[in-house]
Amino acid sequence: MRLSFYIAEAWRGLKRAPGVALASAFSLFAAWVVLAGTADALYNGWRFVNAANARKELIVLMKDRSGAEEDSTLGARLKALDEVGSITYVSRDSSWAQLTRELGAEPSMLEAVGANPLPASWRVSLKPELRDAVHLKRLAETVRQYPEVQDALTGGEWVDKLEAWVRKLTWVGFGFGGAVALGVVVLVMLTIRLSIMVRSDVLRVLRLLGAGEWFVRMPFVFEGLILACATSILALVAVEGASRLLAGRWSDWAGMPLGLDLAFLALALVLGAVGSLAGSAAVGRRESA
Amino acid sequence: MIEFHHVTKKYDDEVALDDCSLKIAQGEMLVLLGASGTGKSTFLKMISFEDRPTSGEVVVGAYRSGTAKDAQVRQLRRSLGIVHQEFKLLQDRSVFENVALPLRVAGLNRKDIHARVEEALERVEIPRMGAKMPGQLSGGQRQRVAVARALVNKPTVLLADEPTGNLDHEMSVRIVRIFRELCASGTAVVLATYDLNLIQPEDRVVRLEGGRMKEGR
Ligand SMILES: Nc1ncnc2c1ncn2[C@@H]1O[C@H](COP(=O)(O)OP(=O)(O)O)[C@@H](O)[C@H]1O
Ligand SMILES: [Mg+2]
Repeated sequence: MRLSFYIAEAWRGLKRAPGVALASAFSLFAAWVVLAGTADALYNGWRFVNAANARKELIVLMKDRSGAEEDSTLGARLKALDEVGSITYVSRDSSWAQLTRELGAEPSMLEAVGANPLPASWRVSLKPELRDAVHLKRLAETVRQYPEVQDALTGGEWVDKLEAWVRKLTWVGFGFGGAVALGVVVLVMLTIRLSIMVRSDVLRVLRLLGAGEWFVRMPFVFEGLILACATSILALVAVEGASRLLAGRWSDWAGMPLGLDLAFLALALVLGAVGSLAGSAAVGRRESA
Repeated sequence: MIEFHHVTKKYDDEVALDDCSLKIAQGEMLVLLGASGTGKSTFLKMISFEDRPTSGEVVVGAYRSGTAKDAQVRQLRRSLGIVHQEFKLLQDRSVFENVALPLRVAGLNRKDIHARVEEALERVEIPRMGAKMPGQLSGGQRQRVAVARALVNKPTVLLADEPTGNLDHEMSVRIVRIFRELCASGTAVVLATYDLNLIQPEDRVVRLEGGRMKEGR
């Protein structure tokens, strides 16, 4: 019942000083775009790192001249490990075939070398939920202990470097986002303070009518919420629109998932609430001169 | 209902009220008569606790000026109706919303608010004006909206500070007649005015001169 009054009152407040409301809305919009844009970029950084990690495999090289029987025993052993998802056998012949294909060499090269120098190997990929650098390294160490194994190669060091870099960027992003969030709170707070000054006549009347503290305060809280909510939705639409556009041209990019969108809107509401509560803290308390 | 006990109010060195004592009963109408600057507005502000006495005490119902806290001041004000000298209508909302404000503060539901506002507007003889904005009304109509706002919450005390200030005589008489009707239904009315023509023989009149009270005209 009172809710509709508070919202109507908040709306009157915004209309009362449209210049202030618009300037504030524009600044808020810009801040939200920066926040959502940062979140989107970091999300895509992690998405890329995860995809690269998922493609990472362990290549387990058998000792030279291992026999087919040894190879399949090891295969069974690898398959039995907890972390292991799937394994693929690469025979000596197919390794050679792949090498020559990649080098673009003639099959006659084998004759020049004399015999195939490549060992047989198992390509091991982790279970999807365990695909990260830590698990891969641990598995490599375990497997290297096996007597029939010559070496276990993790490869993809660049992914680890990228991951470390994206992790660092994430911290920077959080720090930066925190500063922007603080700026948003201050902006909402100042907007509400201005709005309170602009509406001194309404406040005076409400005081004389014996209005309670929260009755006087709620319209201002709603004013901050309306501002934060409207501008953050617009900013999210803008950022997601740009993101989808980018995704259409560049398949490694994607828009943010719904969960992240909702988390962003929830954060915007909380920041708006904190700002307007802070801005209206002094209003409606004292009743008499 | 209302009691003044040796109330003195000073603004710096300026004495606005000087040792005023009186009682106003429920359903009584008191006319505060005096020229500009004699303390009428200050007298009314003592009753609404907008200002507190420098010395002495004001008692309104269960509330005492010496001890009332913010929460009690709020309660008191919800039982008052005030036509303030410069307590203007809010320009940012319709006549309906202006009159409805005391009821919103009191937390009435939509249906009751509607009925009470309509009733109040009829009472001050401007029915069907609810949708208008204050800026679209004449001075007399605006003053009547202010009166409607003061009586819409069925106050136990109505304070009117020169409510007929810029009205012609006929309109002034009609507004004071509404106050007399309120008195008849139990409301105590304090009417501040400089206009002798509004007084009727049966009215209780207090004259203010330089903040000092003199009963009788
Ligand atoms: N808030 C105030 N600050 C200082 N002086 C005031 C204030 N309010 C009233 N006064 C002084 O008190 C005296 C009485 O004022 P007021 O009660 O407004 O008289 P009236 O309503 O009869 O015109 C005047 O001299 C006025 O200047
Ligand atoms: Mg006055």
